[in-house]
Amino acid sequence: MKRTDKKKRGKMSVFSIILLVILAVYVISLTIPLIWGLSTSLKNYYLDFRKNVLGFPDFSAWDKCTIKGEDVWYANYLTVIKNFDFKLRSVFYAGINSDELVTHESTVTIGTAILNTLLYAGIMSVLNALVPCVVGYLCAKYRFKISGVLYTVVVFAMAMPIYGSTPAIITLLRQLGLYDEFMGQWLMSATFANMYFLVFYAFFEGLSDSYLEAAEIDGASQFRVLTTIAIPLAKNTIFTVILIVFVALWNDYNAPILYLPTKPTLAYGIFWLQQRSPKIKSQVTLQVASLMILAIPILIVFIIFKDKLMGNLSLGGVKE
Amino acid sequence: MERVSNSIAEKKKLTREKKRLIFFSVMLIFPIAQFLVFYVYVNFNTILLAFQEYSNASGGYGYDVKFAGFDNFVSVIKMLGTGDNISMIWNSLIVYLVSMLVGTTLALFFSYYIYKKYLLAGLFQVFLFLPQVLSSVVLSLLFKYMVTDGYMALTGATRGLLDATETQFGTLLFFHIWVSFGANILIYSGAMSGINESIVESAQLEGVNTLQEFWYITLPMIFPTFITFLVTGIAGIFTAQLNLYTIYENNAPIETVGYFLYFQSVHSGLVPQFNTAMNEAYLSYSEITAFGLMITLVVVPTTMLVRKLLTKYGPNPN
Repeated sequence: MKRTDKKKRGKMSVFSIILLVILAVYVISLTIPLIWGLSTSLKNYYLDFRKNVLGFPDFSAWDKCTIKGEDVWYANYLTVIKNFDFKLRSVFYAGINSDELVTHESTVTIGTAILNTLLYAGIMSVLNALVPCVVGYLCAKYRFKISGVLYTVVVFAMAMPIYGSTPAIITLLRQLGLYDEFMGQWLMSATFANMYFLVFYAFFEGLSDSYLEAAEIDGASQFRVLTTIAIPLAKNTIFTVILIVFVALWNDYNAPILYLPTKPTLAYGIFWLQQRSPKIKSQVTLQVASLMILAIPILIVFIIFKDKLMGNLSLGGVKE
Repeated sequence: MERVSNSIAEKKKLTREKKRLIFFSVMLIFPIAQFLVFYVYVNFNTILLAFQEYSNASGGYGYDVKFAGFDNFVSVIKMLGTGDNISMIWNSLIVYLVSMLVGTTLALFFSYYIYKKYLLAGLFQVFLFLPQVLSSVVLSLLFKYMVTDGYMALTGATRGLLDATETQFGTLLFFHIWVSFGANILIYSGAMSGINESIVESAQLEGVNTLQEFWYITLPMIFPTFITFLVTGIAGIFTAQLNLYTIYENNAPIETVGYFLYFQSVHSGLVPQFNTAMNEAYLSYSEITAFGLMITLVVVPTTMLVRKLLTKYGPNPN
């Protein structure tokens, strides 16, 4: 890192000036939807948005609003939260022989959606980092035959995509009683067959054995060496992986629709509101406000942890 | 005496090895079991499912299953031959080719800009990363409302860009590239910063200009990274949804294979369900699986072939 810091800033040429212009246009184009979204979410639909689609909000329009409780500048957000209230239902066959008819029903509010998101993204991101970390450690530091086999298996599994396996996963989860249950998703995410295994494997392989052996000589058990030395040494990489996976899971609504039909995460819930809620669908300002509810928390996470999120997760661990 | 201490040391070592083996085995029980169930068994079941046909049980609850031979594969081919369904394959290929051409070109230029630390490079890097942290729900739908309400307000048009048949595909393609090409910039610029400074400096002394440096030094040096993205991109051709589900849910006016497989998996079952919105039956799980297997059979050999050809005939970084 020091070396690159010292590196001179490149001299501008015609070529780089053209690039600068294109880049600037692109970056501005990226921020326009977000600014438009934020501004639209603060407009009163009838008194402001309908004649002022593109401009900035006219806050005085809210004063003319006669509906009590809807006359404040953040009224769209209140309306979204109030209307974040719907029922979901899923009927399917479960059991090993797929012959037990099961009905799952739920009432969803913004509170349950946030709780579901934490249960989903929170726990899965930790599992998705810790399992590859532990297995990577075992394979790199315990040179048994199976260590090499597991490494090959991961590389193979990553290189060999199998399309159309979603129905097989759904069927299996239903047979095991894990469909539409968080436990099913947690178990699925506790896999070591992903690229993070390779990251952790390379990290521990490059770590001197002397650290670990010293602890062992002092009488620490194998388990203690793992929990008090190996994992703390990898904590930066672990944290980065958790963060990357958490952001991805917070944003994803595709997998929850497939596997957790009646336990929606916030992204799934907001997608549902856009498509199905008559009240939200009736006003673009409400639709946009609900999108902002999903975007703002993750933007805050990004601002706080942007160096970690954008850190280079190389095969040698996190480069800092 | 020496022999005795040796054997004690050996014994100690043996028990240490034993302890290590026990710990290693116990810790791996869960991960290996997990892998056997959720990878090995699932993939085995995927193949099995493709050759089965499910129907509602004649008496009571559950299903009747029978061996279907290649029936599911045949019905997928028939489905692709019906109406305009085959276009989903062309659409997926067009999306891949255009994103590779336009998206990769832009990504490489931008990465070069950041690698050279030109004016505001740090700020640009943060903004280029922005689409990666925002949900596709947020970006796709903000874009949808902008090119519908915003576009109509701006131009006085009666239909938005995503509603008019003539502009739909182009708009979707534009949006897809616009939000996705930045994903590789971090890795490309990282690879570029690994280029040996002395090569670059000696070229600059010889009077090479920026564009020549980009073309003759930077590009060949990061070619392995480019190959990796090209190849992993092939694996993604038939999973890319083009944001269709987010924008249109299950009645999109155009389809890609990724979108088709996804919405069918969401809405169907072991026994095919009926899609009232489109007034046609969904594929059964078995047919979806058969379609997936057919894609696997095309994609995996193609990927291996492309990788081989590119490594053999592509520019050599040395």
